[in-house]
Amino acid sequence: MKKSEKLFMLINKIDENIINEAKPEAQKPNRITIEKRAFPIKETLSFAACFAVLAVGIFAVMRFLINSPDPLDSNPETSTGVQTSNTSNGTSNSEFNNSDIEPDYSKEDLELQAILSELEPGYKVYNWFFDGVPETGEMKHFYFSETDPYGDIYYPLSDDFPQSYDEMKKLVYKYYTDYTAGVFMKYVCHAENITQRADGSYTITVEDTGREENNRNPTFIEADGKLYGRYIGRGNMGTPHFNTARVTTKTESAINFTYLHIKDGEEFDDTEGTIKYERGGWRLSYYMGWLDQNDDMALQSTLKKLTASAGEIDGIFNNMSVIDGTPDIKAGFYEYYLIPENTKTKPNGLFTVPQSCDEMEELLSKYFAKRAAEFYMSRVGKGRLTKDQNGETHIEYDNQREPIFLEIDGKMYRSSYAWDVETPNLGIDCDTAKITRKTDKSIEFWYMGYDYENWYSGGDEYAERNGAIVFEDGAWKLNYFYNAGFIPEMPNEYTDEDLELQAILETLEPGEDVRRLFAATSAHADGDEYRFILSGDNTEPDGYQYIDVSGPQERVKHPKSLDELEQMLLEFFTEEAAADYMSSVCKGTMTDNGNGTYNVTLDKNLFFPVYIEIDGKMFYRVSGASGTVKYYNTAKVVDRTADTINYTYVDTEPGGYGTSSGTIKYERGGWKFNCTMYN
Amino acid sequence: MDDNDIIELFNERKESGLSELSAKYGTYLTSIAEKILCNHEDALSCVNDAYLKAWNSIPPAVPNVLRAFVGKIVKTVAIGMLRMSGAEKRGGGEIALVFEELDECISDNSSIEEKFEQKIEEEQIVDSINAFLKSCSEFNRRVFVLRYWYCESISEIASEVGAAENKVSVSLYRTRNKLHEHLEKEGYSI
Repeated sequence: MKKSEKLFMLINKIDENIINEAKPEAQKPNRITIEKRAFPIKETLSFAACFAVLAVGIFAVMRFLINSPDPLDSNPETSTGVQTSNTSNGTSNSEFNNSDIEPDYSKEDLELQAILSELEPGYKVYNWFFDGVPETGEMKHFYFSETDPYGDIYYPLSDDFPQSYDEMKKLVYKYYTDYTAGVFMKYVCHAENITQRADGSYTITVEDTGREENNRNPTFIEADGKLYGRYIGRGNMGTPHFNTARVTTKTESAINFTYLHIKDGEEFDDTEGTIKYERGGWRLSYYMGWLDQNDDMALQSTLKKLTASAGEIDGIFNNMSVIDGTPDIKAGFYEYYLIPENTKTKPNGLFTVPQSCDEMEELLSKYFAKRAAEFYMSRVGKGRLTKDQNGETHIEYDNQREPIFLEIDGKMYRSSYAWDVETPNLGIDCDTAKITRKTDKSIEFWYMGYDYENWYSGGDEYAERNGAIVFEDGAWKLNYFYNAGFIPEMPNEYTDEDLELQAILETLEPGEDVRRLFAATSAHADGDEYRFILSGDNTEPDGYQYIDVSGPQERVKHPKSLDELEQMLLEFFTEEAAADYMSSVCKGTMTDNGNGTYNVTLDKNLFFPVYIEIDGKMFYRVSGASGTVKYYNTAKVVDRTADTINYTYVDTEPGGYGTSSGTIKYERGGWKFNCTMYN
Repeated sequence: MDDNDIIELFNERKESGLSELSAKYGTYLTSIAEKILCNHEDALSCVNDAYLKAWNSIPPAVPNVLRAFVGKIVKTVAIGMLRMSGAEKRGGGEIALVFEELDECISDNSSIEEKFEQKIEEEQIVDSINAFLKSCSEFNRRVFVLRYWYCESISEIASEVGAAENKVSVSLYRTRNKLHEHLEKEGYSI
């Protein structure tokens, strides 16, 4: 048995409490009486994922509210609805008294449970949609274009259900909040044209609502005067236990509650639901909130709205270049198109085409935070026309850069160069957005964004991004998205000293590079690989993999000896930081085992040194150090002495360290970076 | 059903205790086995074996935490199955990585090798590891146990504890080093 395996088995015997604490058992509600539940649990386990929940709720409410007095809408303060009085813990209401229910549910909780239970028929309705192939009606195979190789099968909804997009929309908005209804209706489309193909299937053109998902696989399609539901797309939305619901918080416009949810065998007892007061009635917002999904979904919705706005702006800008047709003025390489005043609005009338820098700034500041607006405006400038000795016209810019937009003599021009090359593409995949941190004034989030630069060079199309929405001027505004080639500059809120520090940190990049290059796995291909058995007793059959980095390294500059390594470190780092790193390297002697492995005796007692120098050769461990992304252009000086600068900077990596600190010291005739090498 | 009630069924030799145990912790136990065996069918088989071992162990054993108690049995059975199949040599799953990382906690020329062989020492070493873990911060302890007890991947742990993968890696690295120092200090390594 290997030593590590023995240790593993010893760890297996550790205190059971420690084991339990590491992976806490999901808190059970006070009681679960699954077998006594009215609704079909097993059936519901096969429900489709997210909009399934919405559909469930929607038609549940429909059934409930159509067939019975409306407890939510009619008078939210009556006893049939959710009472607005404070909870009375431990008191059981006889109307809702149930032997299954533990006495520690408040009367209010019980009322809520009763309301939610009444909504259960919704699940059956949903089953009719997704489980039941209609007894009458022809299933249709729809392709979304002539070339679309993946069509979906849809079947007509029975007469019990909405028969058109408008009917469904009306129904949904009647009983649900705008948000929930809006999410649901994203998946309901109208097909414009239907063409039957030779094989009996249909090619359709789906109404373009401007939302990508509507152009692919909508859940419902209104086609040929009939509403069809998609036959595929099952998922597991889990089983909600509404008889575990408890009211958590209440406001004048919202009742929040939690309940138990079982999904894939895992129990989530903190699933959140909300009922909101909107449009004169209490309306169900949404049932299922996995952890922070409610927030995330709201964020995603907001982002879509905001990015749609940004997209419209760009669309308008781009169209302006096209509409005018010919360049109006030239300035060297750049051609500028005059933005015609008669194209002031896009068809949807959302935006007014800016005709001046001020108008553009106003437009941007309406939707974007100051930082983002300033960044965009750095590409917008004013200028004037001048003529040279030969009578040729030139443009004199107020700034030295060629702006994308140029205001000259009260008219706005757009650069044709920008049209071709610098069209900003925010490229955000809104559906991936997840909140990483929230404060009173900001919502920071993570998302997948397009990375065209990387994509063009053969890499992935998407990359992990950070974004933020900030509260400014009384409104939440999009701060910025960044992707390749679209990294906003930081605002001038930094002092000269901060900027100086940032410049220093920039100059230290070679040092940073040294550290990163050490860890670069791309170096592996450049050197011969060795298997070192560091124990010397042959009990480790595989050994550690090292590469010989003593030879020429074209892509990666490795030190050729420990002395050289130390010099490289001391060039950029303080003695303390260099010593820290040097403590993880050592010298050794090697004997060839003849089977591709080598026994190595080290001159230090290290588990696995990053570098080993053997007989004048340097060997680097394959799984070397790793680094943390740091954003030095967020650095701010905290205090400064004659030989020390203490600063903070922000590591914006999702789940990262947030604000960190560092030190620069004056040593050996220069300012040296002090850092923890492995962090 | 409450853990104590399940244990009572075991004590009364009522087989319904097994079904209750399965109903309550079956998913949890299967997930542990799957982490090690990387095969759902094998994991189910492993958990069934573990049920039998639990049945034979209780009584006289009185689990402190039933969930963890049976979890330990599952892991032991799973490791045995893994060893039988030689699967760890293929390097599949997290277990190979876990072994590799745990190597760092053991000094190359230590006497721990010999002490491991002595059953009498095992209990002391486990106590020592317990003491060490209790001295760690809650975050580091949890990350360590999720990695080396539950055999979860770095990304799974990161997701579970709500931290960046890098932070988890750093935590594990440091805790491994500290464990090594601790074992050395306790005389289980030079």
